[in-house]
Amino acid sequence: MLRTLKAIFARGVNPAFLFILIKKELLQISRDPSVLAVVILQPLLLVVLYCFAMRMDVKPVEIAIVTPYQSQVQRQVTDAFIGSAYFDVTVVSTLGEGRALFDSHKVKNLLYFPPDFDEALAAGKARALLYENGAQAQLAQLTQSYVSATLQGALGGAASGSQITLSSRTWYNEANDSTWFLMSGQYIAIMTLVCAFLGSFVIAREWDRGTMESLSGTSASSLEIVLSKVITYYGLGLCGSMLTVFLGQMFSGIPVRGAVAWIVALVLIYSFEMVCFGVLISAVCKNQFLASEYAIIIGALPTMLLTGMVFDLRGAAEGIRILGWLLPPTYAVEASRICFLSGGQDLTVLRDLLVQALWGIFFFICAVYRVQKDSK
Amino acid sequence: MKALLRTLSMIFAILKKELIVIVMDPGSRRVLVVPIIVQCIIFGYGANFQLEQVPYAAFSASDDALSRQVLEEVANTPGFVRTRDCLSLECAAQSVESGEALIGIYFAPDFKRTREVLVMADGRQNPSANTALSYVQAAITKLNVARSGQGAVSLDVRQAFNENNITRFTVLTGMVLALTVVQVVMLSSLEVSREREEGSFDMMLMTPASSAEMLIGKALPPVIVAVFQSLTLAAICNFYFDIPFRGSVWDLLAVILLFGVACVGIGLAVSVLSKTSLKSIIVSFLIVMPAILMSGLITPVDAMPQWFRYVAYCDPLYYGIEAVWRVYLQGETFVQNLTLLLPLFGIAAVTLGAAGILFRKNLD
Repeated sequence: MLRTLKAIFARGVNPAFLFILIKKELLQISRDPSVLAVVILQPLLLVVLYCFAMRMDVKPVEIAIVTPYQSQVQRQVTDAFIGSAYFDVTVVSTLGEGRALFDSHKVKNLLYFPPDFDEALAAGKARALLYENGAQAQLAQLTQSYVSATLQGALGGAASGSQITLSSRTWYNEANDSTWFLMSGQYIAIMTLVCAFLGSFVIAREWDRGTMESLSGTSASSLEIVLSKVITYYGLGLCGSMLTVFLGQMFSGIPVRGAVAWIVALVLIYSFEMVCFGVLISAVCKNQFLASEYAIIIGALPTMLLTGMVFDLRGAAEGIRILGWLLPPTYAVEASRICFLSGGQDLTVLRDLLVQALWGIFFFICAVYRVQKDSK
Repeated sequence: MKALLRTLSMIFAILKKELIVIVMDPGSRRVLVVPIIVQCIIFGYGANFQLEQVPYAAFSASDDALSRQVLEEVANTPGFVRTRDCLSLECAAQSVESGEALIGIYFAPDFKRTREVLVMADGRQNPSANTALSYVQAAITKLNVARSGQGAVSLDVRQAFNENNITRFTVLTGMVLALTVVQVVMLSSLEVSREREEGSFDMMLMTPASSAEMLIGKALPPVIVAVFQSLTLAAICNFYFDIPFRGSVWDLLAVILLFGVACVGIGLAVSVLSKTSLKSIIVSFLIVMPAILMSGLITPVDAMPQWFRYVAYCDPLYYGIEAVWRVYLQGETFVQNLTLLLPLFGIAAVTLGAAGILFRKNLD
């Protein structure tokens, strides 16, 4: 393998051939401009979705409060819930009514004060019962913390001043807005989708249409063939990536706290890496359907789920955590979070970018080798 | 009777031909089976909103005994791991900044007077940070209750259908349809356009089958693939990950079938409208990705702004995933699920109807 590669790269690149091949690619794009949809529509659709639709903080949460005994304390608590912007409260007086609402999915949560609530409260042993629909696990968890905080707030006011309180600052995301968290990671996801998907067509299409044979019949080397495709589609992918970041910044209002140069470098390098990744998939699959499937299956979905973009890797099982840190997008997500939200940490960002560049070159060389092996 | 038999045999012939196209190619056979299983298992272990590990840094500038008690209580919370023994506020702050610690806990010199615990959380990981903060709050509340013994309420939480709040229950059962949809829509979107590209579509036109028979024959194989994939995924959820299956297999099958038909309708409509297979793949991709994102699988639909919810209500995945949750996790029956299945049926009727009209128009 090494010898073959050495031979290919020793031959170098003939600029005239490269120029003609790029011209051919451009001509192909101008005749079937549907790939432009990937570059323009895809970022637009996804950015709009992420900025406006994908949020983690549900507000208000639908909850039914069961207060069979309208004591003063219970009314005070109920009022606190009604007054809170976090809840959409339905008050019922029997547990049966509450259960009926819960079972018919009218409310997802049920807060119940047991009959002995008031006496127990005086003795300091009061329990309120929260009944949640656990089918949506993260929603249930979120609701639990809202309810707990509201409950303590409503009753804690009366307690003595010696209580310990928690005062928290959420650094880098002061308003605690989930869009900031999601979007800074999703830039990477959208770039992956756009670039890897674009790359995944290019060689497979030649095989599908039977034009690979005529291409390899020319005097262009595999290096020139792959290079011409990477250059053309890198150009397109870059447009998509830049559009992504541009639109994202326009709609989401997340800050740029790091150096702009780092962000530019991240976009440039990551797009290159993902186009090469797509081209490699394309060269291996030799079939447009398979290549685009694999671009989603091993490119986009793991990027979305295994890189800490949505699910923190700290919550993953040990083996998956290691797997996550083996995937290059994980480093890109880290770099993106730093560049947009916090700034600083130049060394970490540098390392992250280096990882991307090395993988990109590796994917490129593999693609060249694969095309050489299959076509000549 | 004879006409019916004839129709059935036509449909069967086309079905057989399409299945051969899908199943006989080892590459596409592999892509239909292996990735979904591997993904299901990897996501099963990876997708978790719970924190198994909360790395934290702490520094106390107060010599108050209570601050030590708070730290002890926090340290006893399962999963909390101290990253550094800090002797300055900078050290704790730096630990958070570098991403090493998720939260930094600080007791100011005047803690004795203010009784205020200061916590800095890494907002770059905002959901995790919020979870960690709620753990610290719980620890403090516990201490408060123990100290004062009054005005305190403990909250008993029962999470129905998912007692231990395992994210996997939600994500994996949702994946039963989400992993399937990618391939089913794409597969069906290629059925007409690929033939047109290869030139075999003209041969199809010469067969004695009517356009309706052809449509049904073409729609069935991807539906079969959808059923096969979804049931495989549900089996992995149940047998490998031990997520309790509370419903009946028939109710689940009904959801999958309806959902499959809706997806295939979308795919076929795309296929008839696209001239090349490249176009089919791109358009179906532009539909599938947003459909997964707004289905409520990754972030809840309830968190969307009101106007966007109306968009989500057009998404077959929204109804499909919600219905799978209800059947799989909550054991609801077909009848209880009608509020979700009727819209799904409506979407299926619209998409398949549109595909049929486009198909006939293109045949003439």
